[in-house]
Amino acid sequence: MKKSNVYVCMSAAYAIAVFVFWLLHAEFLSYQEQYQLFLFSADYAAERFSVAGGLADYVGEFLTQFYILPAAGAAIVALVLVGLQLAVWSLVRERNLHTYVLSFLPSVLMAGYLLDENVLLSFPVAVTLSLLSVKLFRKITAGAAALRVLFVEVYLALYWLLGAASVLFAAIVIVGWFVRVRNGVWLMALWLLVVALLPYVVFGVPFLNQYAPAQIFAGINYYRVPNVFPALQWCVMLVAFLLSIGIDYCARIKSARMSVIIATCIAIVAGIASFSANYDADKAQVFRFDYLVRNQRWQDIVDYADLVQPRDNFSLQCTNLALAKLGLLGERMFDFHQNDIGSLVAAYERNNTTCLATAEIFYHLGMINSAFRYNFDLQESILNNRKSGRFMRRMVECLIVNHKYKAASKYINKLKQSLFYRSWALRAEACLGNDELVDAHRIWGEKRRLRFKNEFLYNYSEIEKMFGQLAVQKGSNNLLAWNYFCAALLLKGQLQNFAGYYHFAADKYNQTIIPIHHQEALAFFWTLGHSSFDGFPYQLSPSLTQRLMSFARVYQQHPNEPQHWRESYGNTYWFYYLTHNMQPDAIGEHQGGSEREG
Amino acid sequence: MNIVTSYELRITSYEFFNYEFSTFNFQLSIFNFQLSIMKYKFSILCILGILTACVQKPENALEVNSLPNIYPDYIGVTIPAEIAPMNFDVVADSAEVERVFVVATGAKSGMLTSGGRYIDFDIDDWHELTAANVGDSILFQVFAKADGKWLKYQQFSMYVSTYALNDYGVTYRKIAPGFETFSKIGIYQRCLSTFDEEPIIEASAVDGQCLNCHYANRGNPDFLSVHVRGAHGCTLVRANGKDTYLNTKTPTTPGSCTYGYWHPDGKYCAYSLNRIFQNFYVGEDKIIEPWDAVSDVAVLNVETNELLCPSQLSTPDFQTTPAFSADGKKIYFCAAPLCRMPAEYDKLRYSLCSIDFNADSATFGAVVDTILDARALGKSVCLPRPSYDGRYIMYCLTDYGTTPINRQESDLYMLDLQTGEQRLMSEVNSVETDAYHNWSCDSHWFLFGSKREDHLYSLLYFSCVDGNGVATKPFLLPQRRPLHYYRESLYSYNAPDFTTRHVEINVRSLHSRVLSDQRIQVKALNVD
Repeated sequence: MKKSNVYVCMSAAYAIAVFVFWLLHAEFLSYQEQYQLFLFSADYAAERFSVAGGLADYVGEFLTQFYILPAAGAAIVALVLVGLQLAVWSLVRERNLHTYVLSFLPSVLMAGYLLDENVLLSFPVAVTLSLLSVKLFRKITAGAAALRVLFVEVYLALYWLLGAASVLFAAIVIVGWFVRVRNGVWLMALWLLVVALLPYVVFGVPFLNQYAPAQIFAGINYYRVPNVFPALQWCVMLVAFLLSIGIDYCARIKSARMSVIIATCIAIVAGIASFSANYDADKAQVFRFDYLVRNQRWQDIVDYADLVQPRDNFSLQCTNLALAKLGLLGERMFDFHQNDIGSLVAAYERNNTTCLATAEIFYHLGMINSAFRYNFDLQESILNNRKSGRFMRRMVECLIVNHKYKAASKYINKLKQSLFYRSWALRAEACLGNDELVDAHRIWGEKRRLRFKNEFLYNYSEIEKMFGQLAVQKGSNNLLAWNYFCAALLLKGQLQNFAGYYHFAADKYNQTIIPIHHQEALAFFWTLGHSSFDGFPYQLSPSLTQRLMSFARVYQQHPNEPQHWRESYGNTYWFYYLTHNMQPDAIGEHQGGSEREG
Repeated sequence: MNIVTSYELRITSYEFFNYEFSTFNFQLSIFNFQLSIMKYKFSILCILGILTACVQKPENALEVNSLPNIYPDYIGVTIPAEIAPMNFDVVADSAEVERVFVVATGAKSGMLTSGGRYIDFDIDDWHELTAANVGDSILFQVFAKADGKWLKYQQFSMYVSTYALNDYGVTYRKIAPGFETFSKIGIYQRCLSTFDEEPIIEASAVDGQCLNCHYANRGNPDFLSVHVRGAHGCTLVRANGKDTYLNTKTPTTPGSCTYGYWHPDGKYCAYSLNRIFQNFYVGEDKIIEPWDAVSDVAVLNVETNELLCPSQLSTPDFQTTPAFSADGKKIYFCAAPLCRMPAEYDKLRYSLCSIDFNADSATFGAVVDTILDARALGKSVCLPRPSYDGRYIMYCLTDYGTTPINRQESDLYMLDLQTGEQRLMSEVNSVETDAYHNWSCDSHWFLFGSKREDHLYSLLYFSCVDGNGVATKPFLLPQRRPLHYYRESLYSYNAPDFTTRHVEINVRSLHSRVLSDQRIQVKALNVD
């Protein structure tokens, strides 16, 4: 096989591997996509280009918008990573197989780095374009050496377009100039110092004085969290720099086969190290659940939960929502581990992830104001101040349901400037101001009927009462709220309330067949005050009665040893109740509101 | 139509300039590039004018028997001569407006035209026209082209007030109207004679920490108070141009300094010390309910960094939002009896009270006077703002609670301190929230925030108060391309105030001082 074909095959194989990996991990793509909203507008472009690194940012966000389509997203990641490898390769003069393998090194490190959910695509874009700029600059100045005097201007322009990664360009060019000059080390060091400081001197005060100095040196928009610069960012740049200046020396190594093997091993080890440093299985699970909820794949959520048996509240909220949407919450919720009420609806947390599930739950339940609030805050908690198509769309829905058409129109206007939310926004726009159309809308009309009819303050510590009000308020038939109400009472151990309300509202929801966990709770509560089931007002399945009796026997034998009951009764409400040391009708801690910094 | 022909070259130039470059102008101001572009504006216009031979002008305009539907609604407003051009868009009810053209004629003298996709007057020409017509009106003849036809609307006027607006501009915090979190947030200043806006401090300059309310002394930025909240929280107090970074939390006071107001001589700044909580509504119209768990009023001596805590204002009841009277001899504040919060949130009503203050001896009066009794009003008084000439107090009335910006029913009221008469300012209020008011340095103009546009975003409005205390129809803060600007903006204008001068803050120094955590600890003193 010709050498060039081998190179093509290697890059293609790498691209395919990356593509397949990301396609199988579409949740990472979805996560990235939902924290930016690329707009086709002059304002948007101007806003990006008004900050150093604007071009990289603009290109990165342009590409990230396609992550909403998993195949397109995976293809983009593959292309970007292969692009980086080829950019390194473009700087190699003495080309052979082992230098080709080594040219993968920065890309492989970057592939692992991209698994960090806060790494933005602008970083690989900036690094790649910086390396390609070296090639271009060398090509131009090779023909006209006098143009080298423009180096500083080019560097500063690149700094503004690509951000701090442009230091790669400057460093490689300078080292290229001085490396063969005798006694040029000090001059080279001086130049390197100058290029490191130059952006701060030139741009720091007049244009970027609202950014911390560290951001000016290390990049403003490479990482979603401001003022955080992970080691791998420096590592990727350092390896790219060292390879760019040193790979030609590697090419002179005589033992070709051994050097290919060593180069391959280095690339593989680097890839594994980078991957293991950044791949977090727990996060991946959370992203997976979120991705499935976002796409309303309820059965897939339950299947996935069966597979991974989640224990964190985020995953459990998603699982419980899926069960409720499938009408299985009362049947299966204790098939899964439940921590507490937070497994059904978690308390608010000020970050950009943990409320994702809660925001979805509120919307599906018809708690429209709360859903709006959570989505608004989710969007506002995007750490690099971007907007989100996903959250903005949900905000529009909430505003339309709440008759706030003018405010909805503001967000619709934004969404209309995007590629993937535009058609939806146009359809939503047609409903603005038209109550009849909204009332007739399959989802929004239903939400209008289900939402709260009166005004009161949200109180998480009494969330079960809010579900109860949604379920029993006049004129609505909110089965989802009813199921959440029951589940909340069970998770809080409010058996007396559960039994009382069950009697009151079960007829409304026509529960002729009582879900198994409800039966468990009702029967268990009955046994706390009665010695037999005579007079028990509900129909119990015979197997449940027997199971409760046998559980009672095991419990009495080993009252403080849950491990004895777990295997046979771990999926019952009794197990949950007794392992959580609940007292009947335990009352949650009062929460008066969240403290604000005035 | 003769007028039109005589200006056709200029119209064409403006059209092109408006349409193609205006969006960039808006953003380029961030870099201060705008100045350099403006320098070449004339040349650009001339070149474009020569290159553009084809002129669209109002021909055979059909007379329409109605006023034009313009955005912002500037019809009949009263403006100061110094204000930036009152650019506007014409919004057609049905068809899209392709072109607009306006002839602005001064009642006394002068004429100005503009045309294009929207109306954008030249800043210098505009000021020439307004200066020539102080005390009189400017008549606007609007033409709009829709569906290929020109329409000629009825003329409308803007009145140029005899009261000059002597302030340089306004300061405000721009923030998304969120709940528990914020993304981009910053305190900005905007020159009122031009469209130039620039950040004073953005959160990115202090590691993303929250920037809270900011107060200048009657618009004088030499006396400034800015709160930074978060891990490196502090209060920046600038007195006579000297910056100090204070820790205002003390073991004996209920909270940090929050809502502030400067004494006229600049030696004292009154603060309320609050612990603020918030709850959220679940229904359709109301959104958020902030409330104080505890709140007292104290006065900071900015020379000694002593916090004077009078026992009269450090009671279990709620005392908040203090403001010095024009002569500095009284402190107005809002007070409410203690109630169970948040359970009784809808029973919490604040009265307007005052207490004497002697700046020479740093002593307080023994008695708290109730000026407006919440029980009699059945409403809650919020944010008293005395005019600097000592004539009025402007405040908000809400059904209950303490933060009017979060209450849809909040309206502006004015109390005449000479006659004791209080009245609803129906000439400026809307059905949505109207709050966050402040006076200009000579007390003839005031600004306020209002959510009248869309129920969610608070925008800035200005109005003039005449000798009888009657306010004029408010006008929205002018922008170069207002419809586009306000439609695209996702920020509320928060805590606005006038500033007499350009505010200068060394952001780099502020960054290092805030992150250094070196603070001067204020000392709380219990006084009577």
